[in-house]
Amino acid sequence: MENIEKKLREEAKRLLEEKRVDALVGFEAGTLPLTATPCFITSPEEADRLVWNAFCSQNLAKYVHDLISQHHNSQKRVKPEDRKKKVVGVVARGCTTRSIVLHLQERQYGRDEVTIIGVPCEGYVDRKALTAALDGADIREGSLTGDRLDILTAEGKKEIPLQDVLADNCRTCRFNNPIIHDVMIGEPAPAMPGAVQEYAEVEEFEKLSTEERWRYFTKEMSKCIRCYACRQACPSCYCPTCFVEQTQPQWVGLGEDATDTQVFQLMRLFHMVGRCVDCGSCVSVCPMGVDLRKFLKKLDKDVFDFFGNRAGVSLDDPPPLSTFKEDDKEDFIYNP
Amino acid sequence: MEKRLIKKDALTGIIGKIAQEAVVFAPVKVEDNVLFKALEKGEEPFLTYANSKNAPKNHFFPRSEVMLRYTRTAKGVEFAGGQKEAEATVLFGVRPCDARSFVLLDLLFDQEKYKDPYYIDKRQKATIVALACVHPPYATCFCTSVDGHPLSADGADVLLTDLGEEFLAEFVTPKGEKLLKYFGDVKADAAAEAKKEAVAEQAAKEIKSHIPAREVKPIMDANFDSPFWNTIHQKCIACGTCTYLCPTCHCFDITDEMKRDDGRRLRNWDSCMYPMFTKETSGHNPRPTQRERWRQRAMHKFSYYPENFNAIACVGCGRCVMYCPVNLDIRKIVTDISKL
Amino acid sequence: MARRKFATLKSFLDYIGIEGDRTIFTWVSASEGERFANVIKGVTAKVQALGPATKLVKEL
Repeated sequence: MENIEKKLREEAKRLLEEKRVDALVGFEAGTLPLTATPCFITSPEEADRLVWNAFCSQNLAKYVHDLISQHHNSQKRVKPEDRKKKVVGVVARGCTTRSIVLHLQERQYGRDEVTIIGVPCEGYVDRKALTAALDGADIREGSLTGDRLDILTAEGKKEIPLQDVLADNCRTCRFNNPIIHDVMIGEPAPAMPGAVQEYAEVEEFEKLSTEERWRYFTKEMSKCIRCYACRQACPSCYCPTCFVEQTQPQWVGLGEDATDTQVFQLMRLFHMVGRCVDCGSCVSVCPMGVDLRKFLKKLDKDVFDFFGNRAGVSLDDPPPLSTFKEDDKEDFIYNP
Repeated sequence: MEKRLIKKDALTGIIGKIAQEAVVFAPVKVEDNVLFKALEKGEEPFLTYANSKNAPKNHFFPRSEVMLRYTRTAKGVEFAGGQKEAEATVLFGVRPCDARSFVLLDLLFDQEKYKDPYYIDKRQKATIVALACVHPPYATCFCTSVDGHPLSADGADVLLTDLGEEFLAEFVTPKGEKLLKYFGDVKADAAAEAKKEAVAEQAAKEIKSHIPAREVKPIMDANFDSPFWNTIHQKCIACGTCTYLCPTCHCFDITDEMKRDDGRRLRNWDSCMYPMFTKETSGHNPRPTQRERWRQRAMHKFSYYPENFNAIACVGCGRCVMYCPVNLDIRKIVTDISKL
Repeated sequence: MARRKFATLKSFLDYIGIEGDRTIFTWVSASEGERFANVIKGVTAKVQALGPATKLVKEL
């Protein structure tokens, strides 16, 4: 890891010095033990702030989209000959590059507007799982050595194997190495052993009765406080105005009504058909621990089962809902 | 002030007895979350909690509440009151930081000139039993930087302090004294009080996080247009986690909902982090980017509130620090501003 | 493309616990009057068998 970090800083410095990127999105150390936080650097001297470790949880493609679309907006009223180009660099693992592929498929920006520093990934720590493993005890100090987390809490020292607290999406990740990159740091990471069981949880859930599934859905959604962290963290949620914020007509109420929350979540989830790269950002940012992945993974499974498509894994694929094949699934069509 | 000593294992029984006569709100473990919520029949509070994830302000200022109802009839619109009158409640196990948040919210919702009947009704009928932080639960606790203390009784009607073998119960207000009957008749002696003082001193020492909150107002005011604000918000994803978990954030929005001829007017939480918060009907947004929104949040807490009410609108509970999805740490922002 | 959207929608609603018979999709041409009537009859029968919808229904 230290080696990767060192190379990452060198590459970032070089890209900024050579002015191949105008801004670079990466991670720096957080203010709390065992955390990393997104950072934005624009000068080579700042490159030493960059870190790459198992605490880098966010999907940075979200910021790539934000920065580039802000730039596009700023250029709208500029004469074409005076327009400036802006290149955003990003430190990207597999899922981050899948989101970038998705943005490119959806024509959000050009390939030449983003420079991808690819990094291998063996999963990140799920903060909520870590807190649960510590029985809620506050982390005072912590370090990661190899596969072992050494943690000092208010109650004393504790050792936790990294494997026990990896995010669920990382355990079953099929694409932990960058799909596309401009610069690659380090050797590709080994495949995640859980990838073969990526849909196991969904298959278990499918076996439950309709009412059991409904109970679980409503129970999970009742935790939601509508802070919209899931939507805001999601690289695929880039609508300039979300349907929740539209007022003419108003699609969904803003209060505490259970059905409003269910409808908000349901509609956001369904907007992810063929667009969820399973980066786990929505799950990791949710302050209340709503099990969003149970539902998102189903969409992923269906799109793969029905249309053989996985989100953002190839620049050649069209988005699955903007295309069709003659022999697409039609056994669901009602024929009296 | 009346003071009592109770055996530690008597506490659950006391809460149970109070719950027979009033609605009791207390920290409860719900799956992996510790939530501050109304105890259901037979439900026991979770007493080894650090602090609840949601702030107890929810009880006085809920995420959504009905202000009024109306029906469209042939004769015109008929109005009806929205809310039932509040019941007597006891908020049990409020941490001193959160108890202080009620004092701060009172300044806004219960002013001489403007009174918020929805808030005041619930607030007046609630008794706050605070549980002192003998060992401040989080490394992110910074109550002592914002005029609080881990053993502060500010905003509490009864303050419980764990003295090792027993709890010291101090009945701070007349409202609190109404609960005296539940707490037995062992009066606290001078030894217990001395012990509490020692505990208080130790607890304050255990707070390791300090921010220059009291000094930043003039610096913030002078740096409204500083380039400092151009970068701090960059990683903010504009969610409402910080404001929704904050015990002192109190911004709201009023909307109407209708179904056929029946309608209701709701007051819902809103967040200064949302782009829609300040968007005007014309489409103009006076806070067009997250830069202005973040400046607003910081200045509201550390400049405007002190200006309007002579109090910092932060109690140092650390929720926004712990639960911010991108670790945008308000402690760091305040510290950095102080160096401008 | 509509076929793809409905395939996933029907499956997803069923997955979260909305009875499958409430999400029905079919093709009917403007010239297929009799088929249209049969479809509607069939759909109403299915929904009637399920009874009134209570899920995702907001009451003020």
